[in-house]
Amino acid sequence: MPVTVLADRAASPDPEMGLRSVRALRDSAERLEALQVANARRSGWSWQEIATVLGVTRQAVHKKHRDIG
Amino acid sequence: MFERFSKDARRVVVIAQEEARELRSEQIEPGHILLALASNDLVVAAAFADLGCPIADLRRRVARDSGPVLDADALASLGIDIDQVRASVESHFGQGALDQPPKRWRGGHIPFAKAAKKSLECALREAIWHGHKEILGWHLLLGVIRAEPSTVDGLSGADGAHELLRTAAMRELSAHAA
Repeated sequence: MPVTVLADRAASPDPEMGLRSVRALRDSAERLEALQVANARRSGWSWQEIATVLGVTRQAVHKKHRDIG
Repeated sequence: MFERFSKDARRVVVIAQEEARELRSEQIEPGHILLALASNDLVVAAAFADLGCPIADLRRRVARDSGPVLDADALASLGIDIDQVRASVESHFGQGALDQPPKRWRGGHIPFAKAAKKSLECALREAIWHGHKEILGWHLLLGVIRAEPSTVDGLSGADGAHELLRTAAMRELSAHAA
């Protein structure tokens, strides 16, 4: 897609596209977070170390991701 | 409420839950009920096909609304090329890594969305209105049509689809009573 078209869309005040982009960003972030937390655990990171980098509490990150070990 | 469901209608609810799970939806939506109705009963499937909506098209549209797929257009509007992100993620974490929704979405009980609950309530009312003791599959279809007519049109890909489906359901129900 040409850059100018992207720029037009990004500047578009269309709520539908704006809200969809927010949701898509959130969904992407959730999936990347799950992958990266699992990867950090496999690499031997502690929950506290992961939490510090993510900017959340150790409890929050553990509660959300404890399934992955 | 489920005690009034016929065996057939119960099976539809079970299939709807399976469809929702398979499509990685967080809730059972009216679209999953429609999909379950069509895959459980060839006559329902034929009613959709008559509208120009074979079951494969129905499933594709329901899947689109179920949200498992990252919205490439919306991300492109922010200048993010999701294909590039996917390629980079897959090179480190394996194929399909980005397309796995977080684990907590899988397995377990999937709740009914508000609109799906309303559809079931409407199905009960349709059964009572028709003087049937049991809620049948066709009542479920009428219930979804009553609760979510525009969703039915959208998923069928035809304006006024809900009217035609209602006519088909009424015809089948009167044959059932006779």
